[in-house]
Amino acid sequence: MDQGRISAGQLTLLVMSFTIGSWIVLPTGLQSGQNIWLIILFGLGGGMFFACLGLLLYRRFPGKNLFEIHELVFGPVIGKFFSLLYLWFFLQTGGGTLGVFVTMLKSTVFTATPDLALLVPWVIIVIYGCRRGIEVIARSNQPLILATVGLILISILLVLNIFEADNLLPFLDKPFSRIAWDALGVAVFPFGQGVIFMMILPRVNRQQKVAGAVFGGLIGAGLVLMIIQSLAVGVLGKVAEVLVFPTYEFYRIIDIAQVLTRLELIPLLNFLTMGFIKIMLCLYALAFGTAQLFNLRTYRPLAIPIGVLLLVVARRIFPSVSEHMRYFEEVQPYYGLFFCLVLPLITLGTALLRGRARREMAP
Amino acid sequence: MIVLMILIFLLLFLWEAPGLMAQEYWRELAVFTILLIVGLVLSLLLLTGVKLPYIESFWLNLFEKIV
Repeated sequence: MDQGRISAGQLTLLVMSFTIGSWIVLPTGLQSGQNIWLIILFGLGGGMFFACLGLLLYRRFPGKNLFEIHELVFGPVIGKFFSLLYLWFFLQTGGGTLGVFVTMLKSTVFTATPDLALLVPWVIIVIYGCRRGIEVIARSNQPLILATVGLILISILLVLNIFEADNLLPFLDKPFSRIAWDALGVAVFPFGQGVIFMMILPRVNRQQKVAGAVFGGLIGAGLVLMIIQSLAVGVLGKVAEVLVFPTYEFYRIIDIAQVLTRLELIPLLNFLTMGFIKIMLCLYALAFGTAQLFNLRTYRPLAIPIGVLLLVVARRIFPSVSEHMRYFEEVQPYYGLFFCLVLPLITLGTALLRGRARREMAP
Repeated sequence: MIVLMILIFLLLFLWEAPGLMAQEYWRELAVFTILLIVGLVLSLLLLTGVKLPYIESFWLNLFEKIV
């Protein structure tokens, strides 16, 4: 298995990249319009709660990843069943990101390029990264996340002449139920998907810093997403609610002295880099988890066939963006809650009960 | 096209399998082969135009039925 070690700082950056992932170009909760920053703030709160649950579980079983914890708590049969459920979740997350990647490129830049011509090279690089191990993923992530955050900070200056603060008002004009629902959606995607890091936490070299690193990453990602979506709403106003890729669209209308124009490459670049890390982490968790499920000695050979499966899933994940958005609006909150809240709660509850039973039985 | 697809998967197998055999990683080889065959079958189904269900549409339909 992978013996690579990453530092707490690298974990923070990985959490940031993973969370920013595909959400940066295809955000959910846009129906809340100018309240989007508040939605992200609430979503971040929810995401931190999910992270707390995961970290509590990890604290009870230090040095064990999610699948090992399942086997320790539920025994080999039910434990493996729980792990299988999570494998499906990772597959759908990775495949979904890959699907968004193709949809985004096909509807913006490469309109006439066949899907496979975009997917295959991407998957080959992802498989290569996955086979190199978590250390390489973490190190390759460092310049990418710095570039992404740098570009987003520069964007604040770029939109100064077209940003209208009035677009961010009136504040809280939507019913609370709408805001709560959208916040829940954001809490499970992108923040809740961080449950995948339960597979990576044992690889951190200073275990006492794990919790701080995860929270730091979530807050960092929350801030970045809040900035970029507030800019989108500030520039586009009400139009942002109906656009599929609002971030992409607002970069298109940046115009500084007719010199700096058509900067839509920036959000594409952000998405390509962050999406790349997200898909790679999903593939790593999938290959590592599958190897653990079958008690294998190495996960590396599984990267290729699982990469192929990711490719197939990416082709059959959603028929159109509108269907994808409908899925996120209607199903994802429940679906995500099952993996971010219900399953970890059941695991934690069972672990606590079994721990108490064992203590009472001991002489 | 189907032959090309099978050839690609065969190449992928030949790329990985000898190393696993040399190290006597039989279990790993078995899981690798099974997963690769699953991938091949799904790819061939996609290639021949079989309408595999869309995952998110499946969840949407299931959810609508439940609610």
